[in-house]
Amino acid sequence: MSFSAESIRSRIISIVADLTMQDPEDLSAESLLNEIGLDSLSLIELVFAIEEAFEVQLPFDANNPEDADLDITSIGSIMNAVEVLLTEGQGAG
Amino acid sequence: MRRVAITGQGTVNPLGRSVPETVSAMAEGKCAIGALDFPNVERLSIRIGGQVRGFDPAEHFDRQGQVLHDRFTQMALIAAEEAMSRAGVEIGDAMSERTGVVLGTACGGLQTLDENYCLLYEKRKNRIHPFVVPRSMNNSAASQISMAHNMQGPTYCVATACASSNHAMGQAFQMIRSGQTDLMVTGGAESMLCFGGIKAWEGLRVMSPDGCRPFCASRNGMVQGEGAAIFVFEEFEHARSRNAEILAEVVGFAMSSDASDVVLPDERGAARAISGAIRDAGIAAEEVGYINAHGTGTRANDRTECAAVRKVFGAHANGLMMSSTKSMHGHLIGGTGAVEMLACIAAVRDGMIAPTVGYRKPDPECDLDVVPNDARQHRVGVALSNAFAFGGLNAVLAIRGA
Repeated sequence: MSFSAESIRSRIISIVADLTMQDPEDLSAESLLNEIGLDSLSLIELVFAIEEAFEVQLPFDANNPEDADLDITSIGSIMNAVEVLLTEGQGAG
Repeated sequence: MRRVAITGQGTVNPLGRSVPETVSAMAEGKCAIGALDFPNVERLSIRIGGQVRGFDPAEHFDRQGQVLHDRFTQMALIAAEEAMSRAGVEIGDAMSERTGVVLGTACGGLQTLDENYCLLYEKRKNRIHPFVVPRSMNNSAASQISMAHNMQGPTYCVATACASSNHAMGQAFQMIRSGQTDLMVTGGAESMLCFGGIKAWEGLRVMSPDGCRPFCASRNGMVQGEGAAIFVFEEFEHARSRNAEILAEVVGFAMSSDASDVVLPDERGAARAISGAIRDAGIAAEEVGYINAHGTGTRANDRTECAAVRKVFGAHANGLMMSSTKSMHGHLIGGTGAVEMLACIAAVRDGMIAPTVGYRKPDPECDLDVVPNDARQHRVGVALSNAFAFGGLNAVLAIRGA
């Protein structure tokens, strides 16, 4: 499976929109996760949904989200992480 | 000792989506048992059950509620909403810590486990939804109700197979009676009508392929149902001081263990729980006018239950009515005592005695008045609810009209 940068970005926006019940138009790479109504459970759902969509394994650690290798500050930081994982060929599963 | 009133009731079960619907279905002697409808049903030898048909979670829950709650929790939450609105009580911060939830369920979110194990083992997926644990845990329904209604006191669930709900309601009763809490939401919920759930039961060879006919000579086993019934138990004076309508009063509770066989019931254990509830209520056995039987429709249960009732009541066994509403809604396992409590309340409150439907032919070993096929109008003082679980665990509640 291969994804263009554009399709990665739009797919992630639509996943977040679905989880937070918002219009995708209101979300962008700049949207901060702690400002768009993602609670602790929906953050875990977000990680799951992204892993399912792109067949990647995100380095997310719910015990210690800040110190994990995954930057969950904004939608953009997650987009970047997914792009890196996919170029590294981690999506082969 | 403090007294305990029932001030609210709510339900989702095969007979109805609310208490009024359920009680009218019982009064009409409706049978909600029919062909099961779920994936892989064709691989079962038992294909009937009391299923809640056309249940659409989207009608009741937003996206998160649909993703986070197993079916048993969804049904419990809907029933709790009806019960709380019927009780007409808002749990403000002042009373929140004196209020809790005790629910019965035998298998909790079994459908969630069934679906996800299927993905793992059959579909060979290596990743499953992260909510499998919060959905499937047995306390999920109790926790969600406490969150929905701001109940910050003792909250937990009881899993004693087919006696779970009666044990739960007994605990709620005792907590209020002893002064530990002032108001409890209690009852039970179960939903294991899925391929893995029924397959497990098939193995015990206690399921009927064609219907639940308790106490009838033609009975050939139990039929499973699903659903929830939830009640508001409240300290009597608390209920009276806010002019709440009191539906019934819980007066006695007892439990016992057969300590003998895992699946075969023992009349002595059952009799000890029945006589214990009467003693706990401080009433004369002759005041009991109606018993909602455990009445599963298996040869062993029904015969043993009738013998236990004869043993406890002597001559008065001929002067009381005992029906099994499982003939209409099926056996809800951990939720069954809760749905059956609806019939007990209807008996002491409105004199509506729910029937044992599907009854064809008397069995000399079950020669009590089992209210065959047609409901009756008859005033009763005290009603008992029997529950006798696999594992030999017995729990009996006594309620009285208000």
